[in-house]
Amino acid sequence: MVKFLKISEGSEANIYLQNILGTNIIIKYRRKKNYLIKEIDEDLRKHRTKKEAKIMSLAYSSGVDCPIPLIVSDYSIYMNYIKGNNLNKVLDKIKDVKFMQIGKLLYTLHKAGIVHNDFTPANIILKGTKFYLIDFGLAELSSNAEERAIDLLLMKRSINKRQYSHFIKGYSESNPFSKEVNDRLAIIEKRGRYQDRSLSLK
Amino acid sequence: MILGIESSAHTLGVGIVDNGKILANSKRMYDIKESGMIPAKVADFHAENVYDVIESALESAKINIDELDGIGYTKGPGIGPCLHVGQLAASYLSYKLKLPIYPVNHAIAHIEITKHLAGFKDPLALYVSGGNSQVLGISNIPKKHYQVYGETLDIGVGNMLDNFARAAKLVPAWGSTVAKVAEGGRYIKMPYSVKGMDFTFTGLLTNAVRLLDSNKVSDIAFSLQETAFSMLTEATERALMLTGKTELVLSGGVAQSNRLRSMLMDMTKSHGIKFYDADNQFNADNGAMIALVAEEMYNSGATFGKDKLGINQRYRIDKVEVLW
Repeated sequence: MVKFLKISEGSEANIYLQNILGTNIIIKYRRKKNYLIKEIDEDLRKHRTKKEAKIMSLAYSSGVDCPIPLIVSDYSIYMNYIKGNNLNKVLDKIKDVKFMQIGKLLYTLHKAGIVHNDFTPANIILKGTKFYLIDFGLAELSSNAEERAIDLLLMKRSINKRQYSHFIKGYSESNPFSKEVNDRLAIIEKRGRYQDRSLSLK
Repeated sequence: MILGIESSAHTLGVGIVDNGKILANSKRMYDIKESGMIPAKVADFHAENVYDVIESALESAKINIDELDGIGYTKGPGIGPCLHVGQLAASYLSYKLKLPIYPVNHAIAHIEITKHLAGFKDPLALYVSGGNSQVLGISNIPKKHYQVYGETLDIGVGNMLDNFARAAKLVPAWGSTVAKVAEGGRYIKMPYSVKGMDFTFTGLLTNAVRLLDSNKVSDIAFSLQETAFSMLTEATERALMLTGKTELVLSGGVAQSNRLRSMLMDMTKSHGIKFYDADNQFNADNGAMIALVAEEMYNSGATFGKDKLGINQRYRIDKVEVLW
Protein backbone atom coordinates (compact mmCIF):
# COMPACT_ATOMS: atom_id res chain seq x y z
CA MET A 1 0.00 0.00 0.00
CA VAL A 2 1.46 3.32 -1.07
CA LYS A 3 1.20 6.01 1.53
CA PHE A 4 0.23 9.36 0.06
CA LEU A 5 1.40 12.65 1.47
CA LYS A 6 -1.63 14.83 2.19
CA ILE A 7 -0.70 18.46 1.60
CA SER A 8 -4.08 20.11 2.09
CA GLU A 9 -7.72 19.55 2.83
CA GLY A 10 -10.56 21.61 1.37
CA SER A 11 -14.28 21.47 2.06
CA GLU A 12 -14.77 18.62 -0.39
CA ALA A 13 -11.40 17.31 -1.53
CA ASN A 14 -8.01 16.25 -0.20
CA ILE A 15 -4.83 17.13 -2.06
CA TYR A 16 -1.97 14.63 -2.08
CA LEU A 17 1.57 14.86 -3.43
CA GLN A 18 3.04 11.62 -4.74
CA ASN A 19 6.15 10.73 -6.64
CA ILE A 20 5.25 8.40 -9.49
CA LEU A 21 8.09 7.00 -11.64
CA GLY A 22 10.31 9.90 -10.75
CA THR A 23 7.71 12.60 -11.39
CA ASN A 24 5.87 14.57 -8.73
CA ILE A 25 2.14 14.25 -9.20
CA ILE A 26 -0.69 16.09 -7.42
CA ILE A 27 -3.77 14.01 -6.72
CA LYS A 28 -7.00 15.77 -5.95
CA TYR A 29 -9.35 13.29 -4.32
CA ARG A 30 -13.01 14.15 -3.62
CA ARG A 31 -13.94 12.73 -0.24
CA LYS A 32 -17.07 10.79 0.60
CA LYS A 33 -19.59 12.94 2.44
CA ASN A 34 -21.20 11.03 5.28
CA TYR A 35 -24.44 13.02 5.26
CA LEU A 36 -25.34 12.22 1.64
CA ILE A 37 -27.02 9.03 0.53
CA LYS A 38 -24.66 6.83 -1.49
CA GLU A 39 -26.36 7.54 -4.83
CA ILE A 40 -26.14 11.33 -4.54
CA ASP A 41 -22.65 11.26 -3.05
CA GLU A 42 -21.15 9.11 -5.80
CA ASP A 43 -23.01 10.92 -8.53
CA LEU A 44 -21.83 14.36 -7.37
CA ARG A 45 -18.22 13.32 -6.90
CA LYS A 46 -18.03 11.65 -10.29
CA HIS A 47 -19.79 14.49 -12.07
CA ARG A 48 -17.72 17.22 -10.42
CA THR A 49 -14.43 15.40 -10.95
CA LYS A 50 -15.18 14.90 -14.63
CA LYS A 51 -16.33 18.48 -15.10
CA GLU A 52 -13.31 19.92 -13.34
CA ALA A 53 -10.92 17.84 -15.46
CA LYS A 54 -12.74 18.88 -18.62
CA ILE A 55 -12.53 22.58 -17.77
CA MET A 56 -8.85 22.25 -16.79
CA SER A 57 -8.07 20.62 -20.13
CA LEU A 58 -9.93 23.32 -22.00
CA ALA A 59 -8.12 26.03 -20.04
CA TYR A 60 -4.74 24.46 -20.68
CA SER A 61 -5.31 23.97 -24.38
CA SER A 62 -6.55 27.58 -24.61
CA GLY A 63 -3.22 28.85 -23.34
CA VAL A 64 -3.95 29.30 -19.64
CA ASP A 65 -0.97 28.44 -17.46
CA CYS A 66 -2.41 25.75 -15.21
CA PRO A 67 -1.85 22.09 -14.32
CA ILE A 68 -2.69 19.42 -16.90
CA PRO A 69 -5.09 16.65 -15.88
CA LEU A 70 -3.07 13.50 -16.65
CA ILE A 71 -5.28 10.76 -15.28
CA VAL A 72 -8.93 11.13 -14.32
CA SER A 73 -10.61 8.41 -12.28
CA ASP A 74 -14.04 8.40 -10.65
CA TYR A 75 -13.14 10.62 -7.73
CA SER A 76 -9.58 11.77 -8.46
CA ILE A 77 -7.66 13.96 -10.84
CA TYR A 78 -3.92 13.30 -11.21
CA MET A 79 -2.07 16.38 -12.43
CA ASN A 80 1.47 17.66 -12.77
CA TYR A 81 2.92 19.34 -9.70
CA ILE A 82 3.70 23.03 -10.07
CA LYS A 83 6.46 23.65 -7.58
CA GLY A 84 6.46 27.28 -6.63
CA ASN A 85 5.15 29.78 -4.12
CA ASN A 86 1.53 30.47 -3.38
CA LEU A 87 0.77 34.08 -4.35
CA ASN A 88 -0.66 34.65 -0.87
CA LYS A 89 2.81 34.10 0.57
CA VAL A 90 4.64 36.44 -1.78
CA LEU A 91 1.93 39.07 -2.20
CA ASP A 92 3.99 41.86 -0.61
CA LYS A 93 7.29 40.78 -2.11
CA ILE A 94 6.58 40.96 -5.82
CA LYS A 95 6.66 44.10 -7.93
CA ASP A 96 3.30 45.76 -8.58
CA VAL A 97 3.86 45.63 -12.32
CA LYS A 98 3.90 41.82 -12.14
CA PHE A 99 0.17 41.94 -11.48
CA MET A 100 -0.30 42.74 -15.16
CA GLN A 101 0.62 39.13 -15.86
CA ILE A 102 -2.07 37.90 -13.47
CA GLY A 103 -4.59 40.12 -15.25
CA LYS A 104 -3.53 38.58 -18.55
CA LEU A 105 -3.89 35.12 -17.03
CA LEU A 106 -7.52 35.87 -16.14
CA TYR A 107 -8.19 37.37 -19.57
CA THR A 108 -6.88 34.22 -21.25
CA LEU A 109 -9.21 32.15 -19.06
CA HIS A 110 -12.26 34.32 -19.78
CA LYS A 111 -11.46 34.37 -23.49
CA ALA A 112 -11.66 30.56 -23.42
CA GLY A 113 -15.24 30.85 -22.10
CA ILE A 114 -14.36 29.84 -18.54
CA VAL A 115 -14.99 31.59 -15.23
CA HIS A 116 -13.03 30.44 -12.19
CA ASN A 117 -15.38 31.48 -9.34
CA ASP A 118 -12.60 31.42 -6.74
CA PHE A 119 -10.00 33.69 -8.34
CA THR A 120 -8.01 34.65 -5.24
CA PRO A 121 -4.25 34.76 -4.49
CA ALA A 122 -4.63 31.41 -2.70
CA ASN A 123 -5.26 29.80 -6.08
CA ILE A 124 -2.33 31.31 -7.95
CA ILE A 125 1.19 29.88 -7.87
CA LEU A 126 4.34 31.78 -8.81
CA LYS A 127 6.95 29.50 -10.33
CA GLY A 128 10.05 31.28 -11.60
CA THR A 129 8.67 34.33 -13.36
CA LYS A 130 5.38 32.75 -14.39
CA PHE A 131 1.99 32.61 -12.68
CA TYR A 132 -0.12 29.45 -12.73
CA LEU A 133 -3.82 29.15 -11.95
CA ILE A 134 -4.97 26.17 -9.86
CA ASP A 135 -8.15 24.69 -8.33
CA PHE A 136 -10.90 24.61 -10.93
CA GLY A 137 -13.31 23.05 -8.43
CA LEU A 138 -15.89 25.84 -8.76
CA ALA A 139 -15.12 26.83 -12.36
CA GLU A 140 -17.90 27.00 -14.93
CA LEU A 141 -18.21 27.39 -18.67
CA SER A 142 -19.57 30.91 -19.05
CA SER A 143 -19.11 34.11 -21.01
CA ASN A 144 -21.49 36.05 -18.82
CA ALA A 145 -20.28 39.55 -17.83
CA GLU A 146 -21.66 39.24 -14.29
CA GLU A 147 -19.80 35.99 -13.65
CA ARG A 148 -16.62 37.38 -15.17
CA ALA A 149 -16.92 40.45 -12.95
CA ILE A 150 -17.12 38.24 -9.86
CA ASP A 151 -13.65 36.88 -10.73
CA LEU A 152 -12.34 40.45 -10.87
CA LEU A 153 -14.08 41.35 -7.63
CA LEU A 154 -12.57 38.46 -5.67
CA MET A 155 -9.08 39.50 -6.75
CA LYS A 156 -9.78 43.18 -6.14
CA ARG A 157 -10.71 42.42 -2.54
CA SER A 158 -7.50 40.48 -1.97
CA ILE A 159 -4.86 42.91 -3.28
CA ASN A 160 -4.10 46.58 -2.77
CA LYS A 161 -5.09 49.45 -5.07
CA ARG A 162 -1.76 49.78 -6.87
CA GLN A 163 -1.54 46.06 -7.48
CA TYR A 164 -5.11 46.07 -8.76
CA SER A 165 -4.47 48.94 -11.16
CA HIS A 166 -1.75 46.85 -12.83
CA PHE A 167 -3.90 43.75 -12.67
CA ILE A 168 -6.81 45.47 -14.44
CA LYS A 169 -4.45 46.93 -17.05
CA GLY A 170 -3.25 43.43 -17.88
CA TYR A 171 -6.81 42.14 -17.98
CA SER A 172 -8.11 44.92 -20.20
CA GLU A 173 -5.29 45.12 -22.76
CA SER A 174 -6.68 44.29 -26.22
CA ASN A 175 -9.61 42.63 -24.44
CA PRO A 176 -12.84 43.24 -26.43
CA PHE A 177 -15.12 42.54 -23.45
CA SER A 178 -13.16 44.38 -20.73
CA LYS A 179 -15.42 47.44 -20.76
CA GLU A 180 -18.57 45.41 -20.33
CA VAL A 181 -17.04 43.41 -17.45
CA ASN A 182 -15.64 46.51 -15.73
CA ASP A 183 -19.00 48.27 -16.00
CA ARG A 184 -20.68 45.23 -14.52
CA LEU A 185 -18.16 45.16 -11.69
CA ALA A 186 -19.04 48.77 -10.83
CA ILE A 187 -22.72 47.80 -10.62
CA ILE A 188 -21.98 44.81 -8.39
CA GLU A 189 -19.85 46.90 -6.05
CA LYS A 190 -22.55 49.52 -5.82
CA ARG A 191 -25.28 47.11 -4.89
CA GLY A 192 -23.08 45.06 -2.55
CA ARG A 193 -23.09 41.32 -2.46
CA TYR A 194 -26.60 39.91 -2.42
CA GLN A 195 -28.34 43.15 -1.55
CA ASP A 196 -31.53 43.67 -3.49
CA ARG A 197 -30.57 40.75 -5.63
CA SER A 198 -34.07 39.34 -5.42
CA LEU A 199 -35.25 42.36 -7.41
CA SER A 200 -32.81 41.78 -10.24
CA LEU A 201 -34.01 38.22 -10.75
CA LYS A 202 -36.76 37.52 -13.20
CA MET B 1 -41.39 42.24 30.39
CA ILE B 2 -42.04 42.35 26.66
CA LEU B 3 -44.96 40.99 24.65
CA GLY B 4 -44.40 40.01 21.01
CA ILE B 5 -46.96 39.41 18.27
CA GLU B 6 -46.19 37.22 15.24
CA SER B 7 -48.63 37.20 12.31
CA SER B 8 -46.54 36.93 9.14
CA ALA B 9 -48.20 33.79 7.75
CA HIS B 10 -50.78 31.24 8.93
CA THR B 11 -49.73 31.34 12.59
CA LEU B 12 -50.91 33.96 15.01
CA GLY B 13 -48.51 33.82 17.93
CA VAL B 14 -48.14 35.87 21.10
CA GLY B 15 -45.15 35.43 23.40
CA ILE B 16 -44.01 37.07 26.60
CA VAL B 17 -40.37 37.30 27.62
CA ASP B 18 -38.73 38.57 30.80
CA ASN B 19 -34.94 38.99 30.75
CA GLY B 20 -34.52 36.30 28.13
CA LYS B 21 -36.82 33.93 30.00
CA ILE B 22 -39.80 32.77 27.97
CA LEU B 23 -42.92 33.10 30.10
CA ALA B 24 -45.53 32.42 27.43
CA ASN B 25 -45.68 31.21 23.85
CA SER B 26 -49.35 31.04 22.83
CA LYS B 27 -50.53 30.48 19.29
CA ARG B 28 -53.44 29.68 17.06
CA MET B 29 -53.02 28.43 13.51
CA TYR B 30 -55.16 28.98 10.45
CA ASP B 31 -56.03 25.57 9.02
CA ILE B 32 -54.62 25.57 5.50
CA LYS B 33 -56.08 22.13 4.56
CA GLU B 34 -55.68 21.53 0.83
CA SER B 35 -56.39 25.10 -0.20
CA GLY B 36 -53.15 26.81 0.80
CA MET B 37 -53.31 30.35 2.10
CA ILE B 38 -55.65 33.01 0.80
CA PRO B 39 -54.17 36.18 2.34
CA ALA B 40 -57.46 37.94 3.12
CA LYS B 41 -58.94 34.84 4.77
CA VAL B 42 -55.87 34.27 6.92
CA ALA B 43 -55.86 37.95 7.94
CA ASP B 44 -59.53 37.68 8.95
CA PHE B 45 -58.65 34.65 11.04
CA HIS B 46 -55.86 36.57 12.78
CA ALA B 47 -58.10 39.57 13.43
CA GLU B 48 -60.76 37.35 14.99
CA ASN B 49 -58.26 35.60 17.25
CA VAL B 50 -55.61 38.14 18.17
CA TYR B 51 -57.12 39.35 21.44
CA ASP B 52 -57.95 35.81 22.62
CA VAL B 53 -54.36 34.75 22.03
CA ILE B 54 -53.00 37.84 23.81
CA GLU B 55 -55.21 36.98 26.78
CA SER B 56 -54.12 33.38 26.81
CA ALA B 57 -50.45 34.46 26.73
CA LEU B 58 -51.00 36.80 29.68
CA GLU B 59 -52.75 33.98 31.51
CA SER B 60 -50.02 31.42 30.97
CA ALA B 61 -47.36 33.97 31.96
CA LYS B 62 -49.50 34.69 35.02
CA ILE B 63 -49.06 38.42 34.66
CA ASN B 64 -51.25 41.46 34.40
CA ILE B 65 -51.20 43.51 31.22
CA ASP B 66 -49.99 46.56 33.23
CA GLU B 67 -46.73 44.79 34.01
CA LEU B 68 -45.57 44.93 30.38
CA ASP B 69 -42.68 47.25 29.43
CA GLY B 70 -42.90 47.11 25.66
CA ILE B 71 -44.59 45.58 22.62
CA GLY B 72 -42.93 43.89 19.65
CA TYR B 73 -44.48 42.84 16.36
CA THR B 74 -43.35 41.29 13.09
CA LYS B 75 -42.63 44.01 10.54
CA GLY B 76 -41.80 41.48 7.81
CA PRO B 77 -41.06 39.59 5.67
CA GLY B 78 -44.45 37.96 5.29
CA ILE B 79 -47.93 38.22 3.81
CA GLY B 80 -49.10 41.85 3.78
CA PRO B 81 -52.66 41.57 5.12
CA CYS B 82 -51.52 39.15 7.85
CA LEU B 83 -48.65 41.42 8.94
CA HIS B 84 -51.10 44.32 9.14
CA VAL B 85 -53.21 42.57 11.77
CA GLY B 86 -50.22 42.06 14.07
CA GLN B 87 -49.01 45.59 13.53
CA LEU B 88 -52.45 47.07 14.29
CA ALA B 89 -52.85 45.02 17.45
CA ALA B 90 -49.36 46.02 18.61
CA SER B 91 -49.95 49.71 17.82
CA TYR B 92 -53.21 49.64 19.71
CA LEU B 93 -51.62 48.06 22.80
CA SER B 94 -48.71 50.46 22.62
CA TYR B 95 -51.07 53.44 22.40
CA LYS B 96 -53.45 52.23 25.10
CA LEU B 97 -50.74 51.19 27.57
CA LYS B 98 -48.31 54.01 26.59
CA LEU B 99 -45.53 51.50 25.89
CA PRO B 100 -42.67 51.64 23.38
CA ILE B 101 -43.18 49.57 20.25
CA TYR B 102 -40.53 47.52 18.38
CA PRO B 103 -40.68 46.39 14.71
CA VAL B 104 -38.98 43.00 14.44
CA ASN B 105 -37.54 41.22 11.43
CA HIS B 106 -39.10 37.75 11.31
CA ALA B 107 -35.99 35.96 10.04
CA ILE B 108 -33.74 37.52 12.69
CA ALA B 109 -36.23 36.45 15.34
CA HIS B 110 -36.05 32.82 14.20
CA ILE B 111 -32.26 32.81 14.35
CA GLU B 112 -31.96 34.80 17.57
CA ILE B 113 -34.27 32.52 19.56
CA THR B 114 -32.38 29.41 18.45
CA LYS B 115 -29.04 31.07 19.24
CA HIS B 116 -30.41 32.16 22.63
CA LEU B 117 -31.64 28.66 23.53
CA ALA B 118 -28.35 27.12 22.34
CA GLY B 119 -26.27 29.56 24.35
CA PHE B 120 -24.05 30.13 21.29
CA LYS B 121 -21.94 33.28 20.82
CA ASP B 122 -21.36 33.66 17.09
CA PRO B 123 -22.99 30.85 15.12
CA LEU B 124 -23.55 30.40 11.43
CA ALA B 125 -27.28 29.96 10.81
CA LEU B 126 -29.21 27.95 8.29
CA TYR B 127 -32.62 29.57 8.13
CA VAL B 128 -35.17 27.53 6.25
CA SER B 129 -38.89 28.28 6.01
CA GLY B 130 -41.67 28.54 3.48
CA GLY B 131 -40.54 31.69 1.76
CA ASN B 132 -36.88 31.81 2.83
CA SER B 133 -33.78 29.67 2.67
CA GLN B 134 -30.55 31.38 3.66
CA VAL B 135 -27.14 30.74 5.15
CA LEU B 136 -26.27 33.65 7.45
CA GLY B 137 -23.88 34.92 10.05
CA ILE B 138 -23.20 38.11 11.97
CA SER B 139 -20.75 40.46 10.29
CA ASN B 140 -19.52 43.74 11.80
CA ILE B 141 -18.77 45.52 8.55
CA PRO B 142 -19.91 48.21 7.90
CA LYS B 143 -22.34 47.90 10.83
CA LYS B 144 -23.31 44.87 12.87
CA HIS B 145 -25.79 42.94 10.74
CA TYR B 146 -26.66 39.49 9.47
CA GLN B 147 -24.70 38.85 6.29
CA VAL B 148 -26.17 36.49 3.74
CA TYR B 149 -23.46 34.03 2.65
CA GLY B 150 -25.73 31.96 0.49
CA GLU B 151 -29.41 31.77 -0.30
CA THR B 152 -32.06 30.44 -2.62
CA LEU B 153 -32.06 32.22 -5.96
CA ASP B 154 -35.71 31.37 -6.58
CA ILE B 155 -38.16 29.91 -4.02
CA GLY B 156 -37.86 28.85 -0.39
CA VAL B 157 -37.44 25.15 0.36
CA GLY B 158 -40.69 25.07 2.35
CA ASN B 159 -42.74 26.45 -0.53
CA MET B 160 -41.10 23.94 -2.81
CA LEU B 161 -42.15 21.03 -0.58
CA ASP B 162 -45.67 22.46 -0.13
CA ASN B 163 -46.04 22.90 -3.89
CA PHE B 164 -45.00 19.33 -4.46
CA ALA B 165 -47.41 18.10 -1.79
CA ARG B 166 -50.28 19.90 -3.54
CA ALA B 167 -49.31 18.54 -6.95
CA ALA B 168 -49.13 15.01 -5.48
CA LYS B 169 -52.50 15.59 -3.75
CA LEU B 170 -51.05 14.90 -0.31
CA VAL B 171 -53.15 15.97 2.70
CA PRO B 172 -52.32 18.12 4.56
CA ALA B 173 -50.32 19.70 1.78
CA TRP B 174 -47.05 20.54 3.48
CA GLY B 175 -43.51 19.33 4.12
CA SER B 176 -44.13 16.96 7.03
CA THR B 177 -46.55 14.98 4.85
CA VAL B 178 -43.88 14.75 2.15
CA ALA B 179 -41.50 13.41 4.83
CA LYS B 180 -44.01 10.77 5.88
CA VAL B 181 -44.62 9.63 2.29
CA ALA B 182 -40.85 9.59 1.66
CA GLU B 183 -40.28 6.81 4.21
CA GLY B 184 -39.17 3.67 2.43
CA GLY B 185 -38.85 5.45 -0.92
CA ARG B 186 -36.09 4.65 -3.36
CA TYR B 187 -33.81 7.17 -5.02
CA ILE B 188 -34.49 8.50 -8.51
CA LYS B 189 -31.93 10.90 -9.97
CA MET B 190 -32.92 14.56 -9.55
CA PRO B 191 -31.32 17.84 -10.68
CA TYR B 192 -28.90 19.06 -8.02
CA SER B 193 -28.29 22.79 -8.13
CA VAL B 194 -25.74 24.39 -5.81
CA LYS B 195 -23.54 27.20 -7.03
CA GLY B 196 -20.96 28.23 -4.50
CA MET B 197 -23.16 28.81 -1.47
CA ASP B 198 -26.35 29.59 -3.40
CA PHE B 199 -28.98 27.12 -4.57
CA THR B 200 -32.16 26.92 -6.64
CA PHE B 201 -35.25 24.75 -6.16
CA THR B 202 -37.62 25.35 -9.07
CA GLY B 203 -35.80 22.95 -11.44
CA LEU B 204 -36.03 20.25 -8.79
CA LEU B 205 -39.73 20.93 -8.23
CA THR B 206 -40.60 20.89 -11.93
CA ASN B 207 -38.75 17.62 -12.36
CA ALA B 208 -40.46 16.00 -9.36
CA VAL B 209 -43.94 17.06 -10.51
CA ARG B 210 -43.28 15.73 -14.01
CA LEU B 211 -42.24 12.35 -12.61
CA LEU B 212 -45.59 11.95 -10.79
CA ASP B 213 -47.25 10.34 -13.83
CA SER B 214 -44.79 7.49 -14.13
CA ASN B 215 -43.34 6.83 -10.67
CA LYS B 216 -44.31 5.93 -7.12
CA VAL B 217 -45.05 9.03 -5.04
CA SER B 218 -42.91 7.69 -2.20
CA ASP B 219 -39.87 7.35 -4.48
CA ILE B 220 -40.27 10.91 -5.77
CA ALA B 221 -40.91 12.34 -2.29
CA PHE B 222 -37.82 10.57 -0.97
CA SER B 223 -35.59 11.75 -3.81
CA LEU B 224 -36.93 15.30 -3.71
CA GLN B 225 -36.33 15.59 0.01
CA GLU B 226 -32.88 14.00 -0.08
CA THR B 227 -31.76 16.26 -2.94
CA ALA B 228 -33.11 19.49 -1.45
CA PHE B 229 -31.69 18.86 2.01
CA SER B 230 -28.33 17.70 0.60
CA MET B 231 -28.07 21.00 -1.31
CA LEU B 232 -28.80 23.00 1.85
CA THR B 233 -26.32 21.00 3.92
CA GLU B 234 -23.58 21.32 1.33
CA ALA B 235 -24.01 25.09 1.00
CA THR B 236 -23.91 25.35 4.79
CA GLU B 237 -20.76 23.23 4.92
CA ARG B 238 -19.04 25.54 2.44
CA ALA B 239 -20.04 28.61 4.43
CA LEU B 240 -18.67 27.05 7.61
CA MET B 241 -15.34 26.39 5.87
CA LEU B 242 -15.25 29.91 4.46
CA THR B 243 -16.13 31.77 7.66
CA GLY B 244 -14.34 29.48 10.09
CA LYS B 245 -17.30 29.70 12.46
CA THR B 246 -17.47 26.81 14.93
CA GLU B 247 -21.17 26.80 15.79
CA LEU B 248 -24.24 26.15 13.67
CA VAL B 249 -27.92 26.73 14.40
CA LEU B 250 -30.84 25.50 12.36
CA SER B 251 -33.94 27.74 12.43
CA GLY B 252 -37.28 28.27 10.73
CA GLY B 253 -40.29 26.13 9.92
CA VAL B 254 -38.41 23.53 7.87
CA ALA B 255 -36.05 23.02 10.84
CA GLN B 256 -38.78 20.66 12.07
CA SER B 257 -37.58 18.10 9.53
CA ASN B 258 -35.81 15.18 11.18
CA ARG B 259 -33.95 14.30 8.00
CA LEU B 260 -32.48 17.78 7.59
CA ARG B 261 -31.47 17.76 11.25
CA SER B 262 -29.69 14.44 10.96
CA MET B 263 -27.81 15.52 7.81
CA LEU B 264 -26.59 18.69 9.52
CA MET B 265 -25.66 16.72 12.60
CA ASP B 266 -23.54 14.29 10.53
CA MET B 267 -21.92 17.14 8.62
CA THR B 268 -21.05 19.23 11.69
CA LYS B 269 -19.77 16.16 13.55
CA SER B 270 -17.29 15.43 10.75
CA HIS B 271 -15.80 18.93 11.15
CA GLY B 272 -16.01 19.14 14.95
CA ILE B 273 -18.58 21.93 14.84
CA LYS B 274 -21.24 22.48 17.54
CA PHE B 275 -24.79 22.10 16.28
CA TYR B 276 -28.11 23.09 17.82
CA ASP B 277 -31.71 22.80 16.71
CA ALA B 278 -34.52 24.04 18.92
CA ASP B 279 -37.72 22.47 20.16
CA ASN B 280 -40.33 22.52 17.40
CA GLN B 281 -42.54 25.12 19.09
CA PHE B 282 -39.71 27.61 18.40
CA ASN B 283 -38.96 26.41 14.88
CA ALA B 284 -42.54 26.97 13.81
CA ASP B 285 -43.61 30.62 13.70
CA ASN B 286 -44.15 31.86 17.24
CA GLY B 287 -44.61 34.99 19.33
CA ALA B 288 -41.84 34.28 21.85
CA MET B 289 -39.12 34.90 19.27
CA ILE B 290 -40.61 38.30 18.43
CA ALA B 291 -40.80 39.19 22.13
CA LEU B 292 -37.19 38.05 22.61
CA VAL B 293 -35.78 40.30 19.86
CA ALA B 294 -38.05 43.18 20.92
CA GLU B 295 -36.52 42.83 24.39
CA GLU B 296 -33.02 43.03 22.89
CA MET B 297 -34.08 46.20 21.09
CA TYR B 298 -35.63 47.55 24.29
CA ASN B 299 -32.39 46.86 26.20
CA SER B 300 -30.34 48.61 23.52
CA GLY B 301 -32.24 51.80 24.30
CA ALA B 302 -33.26 52.36 20.70
CA THR B 303 -36.59 53.96 19.91
CA PHE B 304 -38.59 53.67 16.72
CA GLY B 305 -40.50 56.59 15.25
CA LYS B 306 -43.49 56.34 12.93
CA ASP B 307 -41.27 56.14 9.83
CA LYS B 308 -39.63 52.95 11.15
CA LEU B 309 -42.93 51.24 11.99
CA GLY B 310 -45.43 49.88 9.50
CA ILE B 311 -44.87 46.63 7.65
CA ASN B 312 -42.53 45.47 4.90
CA GLN B 313 -43.46 42.30 3.02
CA ARG B 314 -39.93 42.03 1.62
CA TYR B 315 -38.02 43.08 4.72
CA ARG B 316 -34.57 41.70 3.98
CA ILE B 317 -32.56 40.43 6.92
CA ASP B 318 -29.32 42.05 5.71
CA LYS B 319 -30.98 45.49 5.80
CA VAL B 320 -31.43 45.38 9.55
CA GLU B 321 -28.84 46.79 11.93
CA VAL B 322 -28.28 44.46 14.86
CA LEU B 323 -28.40 46.78 17.87
CA TRP B 324 -27.61 44.26 20.61
